[in-house]
Parts: sequence; structure tokens; C-alpha cells
Amino acid sequence: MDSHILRLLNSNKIFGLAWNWKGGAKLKPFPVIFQKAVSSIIPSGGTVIIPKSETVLHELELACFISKKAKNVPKSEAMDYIQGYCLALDMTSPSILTRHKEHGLSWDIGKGYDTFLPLSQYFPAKCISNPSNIDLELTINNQIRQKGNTKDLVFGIPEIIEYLSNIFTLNEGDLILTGTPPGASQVNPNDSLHGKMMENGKIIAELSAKIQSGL
Amino acid sequence: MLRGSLFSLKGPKVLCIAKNYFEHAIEMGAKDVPPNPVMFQKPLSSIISEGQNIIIPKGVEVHHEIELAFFLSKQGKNIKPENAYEYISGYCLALDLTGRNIQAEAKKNSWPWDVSKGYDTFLPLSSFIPTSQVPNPYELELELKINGITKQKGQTRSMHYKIHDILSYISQVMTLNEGDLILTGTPSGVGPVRKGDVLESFLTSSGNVILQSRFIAE
Repeated sequence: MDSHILRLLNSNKIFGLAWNWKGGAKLKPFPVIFQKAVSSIIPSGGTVIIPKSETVLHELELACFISKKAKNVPKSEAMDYIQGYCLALDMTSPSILTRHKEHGLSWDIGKGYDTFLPLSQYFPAKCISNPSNIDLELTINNQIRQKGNTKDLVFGIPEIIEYLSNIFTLNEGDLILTGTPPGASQVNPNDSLHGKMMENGKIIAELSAKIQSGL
Repeated sequence: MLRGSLFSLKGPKVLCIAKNYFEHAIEMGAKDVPPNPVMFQKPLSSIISEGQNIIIPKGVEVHHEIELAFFLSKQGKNIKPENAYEYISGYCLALDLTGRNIQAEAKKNSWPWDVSKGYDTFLPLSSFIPTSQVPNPYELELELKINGITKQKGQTRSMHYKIHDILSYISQVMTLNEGDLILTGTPSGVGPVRKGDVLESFLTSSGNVILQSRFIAE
């Protein structure tokens, strides 16, 4: 097989779910899926750049890494396919998304700018005993903006894996962002974001990002 | 590489430009080509090579879209149009298979296109041809035949946003990496793919076929 194609086949992808929190305005009967560009990743402590003249929101999420090739996985077996987790900020530009949605276009630009995916350190699955009972909290400049528990995901990790793997073959190392609690709000230059995830009061992971205006 | 470390995620991607041939834009219901390149991703899991079959998912109306695609030779960000061609290592023929009914529902609801464009096997790729064998990407002809009958035929000079426009535009949004694949749009004549169809793609330069591929839909 061609080496260029082989390289593509051995690389990873990132999926996210829209509107996947209970109590949200737009509940759908099935998951609404988008992709993040792998080039949008920055590590914790990095700087998110707001594209010139655009608005950007923060969306704190629990993200899971796939452990092995997954295709047509029933939800009862889905957790066998998770190797670990991280905390993620699915940074999103609603101003860009709105312009694209008005023309029925896809979301890749509004979701895919460089720096639009700060990720915490990876931690293995055994660090969490119940991914359906994880508290997420996001503060901006020490003020709480988002707060929720993953019990309120509309589609939990098993349903997500089942749905995704019916359409797409998932590979070891693929990342899935599971959804964000209410409270996503606009970020401004010089804002300092801090996210944390806790289980039964114990902090499992933290994630920070600074905001800067683009040129 | 695939150990769950966040750095294993920094790898290649596949990007596509929509409605980049005027007549195709019109057949898709637009009045003109878009004012800026319209870009979307195909997931890497949709790729197949010759010898693998296209699988038509149940309930999905699959359409073919033959495209010229190019590979990035090196990383680039904010690429200047005058430097664009330094960033290309070569080309391939791609079929941007699309679940047209799924895409129509997505457009109606303002949902993303990732499912409609991203089913497994929805990105059949030909083998690679280096730039040395393609001195001018704008004097090529694309042709798709299904069961021996020509369905799509177009000249790459009709590509609205040229490769340098595409690279300049996308690289302002996203850093492009070595090995990234970019599909440059499809000419008019898109239509359904049915079980049993044999899809043959041809890239021709001055009457000579320089690249071709053959895929069967099951």
C-alpha cells in the first residue's frame, strides 16, 4: 500500500458531540457529530487565539481515548474500548459557525482553528471508577462559568461509542469529546481559563488556558 | 505512536473544498461558487485503496464526486500564494463519496456534514503521483465512468479556487502538516452509486492517462 495512504490510515481523528447535555434547548433523537482538526490541539497552559473580529466560546468536556479498533460495538461492550481520558476545551466560534450554518455548510472552520482544543494530561481509565459521575467545572478569572456532572450527558459514553462505531471505524488513540455542561460563554483577551474534573470531591485532572486576540 | 498521549493526535488530516467547480455549484442548487473556499474534513477511517470495495450503508443514497487531491510535503501556516507549490509532494485521484440524503438533512438542520461525508469506505484513493509527473495541475482532465459510461468529466482549469488560493486560505485557519491530503472539488455530473457498480476514475494530461483507479460498490 502507498506510504502516503498508510500514514493517513495509521493516524488519529477527533469526534465531538453537539447538544449532548440534558436541559439544553436542542435535544436530538441521535447524536449530532462533528470533527475537530488534530492541528487545533494545544497542551494545558497554552494560549487560545481568538480569530480577528470573531467571538469564541469555551466548552469544557470529558474526553475519552479509544484503546483498540472499534466497529459496530454494542453499548454493552463499549467500555472495553476506552483506554483513558483527558479534560478538553472544545473552543468554538459561534460567529463563524452562524455564517456557515446560514448556508448549510459544515462546522469545521468554526470548530477547527489552531489552538481551539486545549487538552489536559492523559490519564488511564482506572483513574475513574464511574465516568457517569464526573463533576466538571470551568472558571474564567476565578469565576465559575460552567458546572455540571456527566450523569447529565444525553448520550453517555457507551451510547456514543455504539453510535460512532456503527458509522466510522474507531482506532486506538482516537479521541472523543463527550459534551459540555451549560454556561458556555464568550472568552475575551487576557482571560484566564481553568477547568477541573472531580470524582467524589477528588480532583482527577485540571486544564488551563490563556486567551489572546489574533492579529 | 498510538498510545493515547495527546501528541499522538498531531498527525495528518484530510480536507476537502466544496462547490469549487461552477457547474457543480449550480447543480447543487447554489447561484454561484461560494465567496470563500468552503472546507470540510473527511475522517481518516473513510479511506480505502484499490482492492477494497465501497460499502453502501443501509438507507444512504451514495453519490460519487471525482476530485483531484494533493498531498502536503511539509508543514505550513499562513502560506503565501506565491510559495504554495513548494508545499505539494504529489497528487492522487479521490472519490469524495457522499450520503446525499444524509447531507441534505444536515444542511436543512444546520448540522455538520461529518456523517454524510465520513462513512467507512467513503474516500477511495488512487495511488500517488509525484509533482514531477504533473508539471501543470490546471491542464488536466478528470473523468469518472460507472460501468463503462462517463458520468463526470471536467477540466481542472475550471477549478475556481486554485491550489494556491486553497492553501493560503486553509493555512490561515489551520496549520497544515506533512502528509495532509486536500481534495480540490468535483466537476458537474454527480449522481448515485449503486450496489454492483464499477467506478473507474481517470486523470489525463494531453490525452495520456497519468493516473487511474477502479473501485467496486458492494
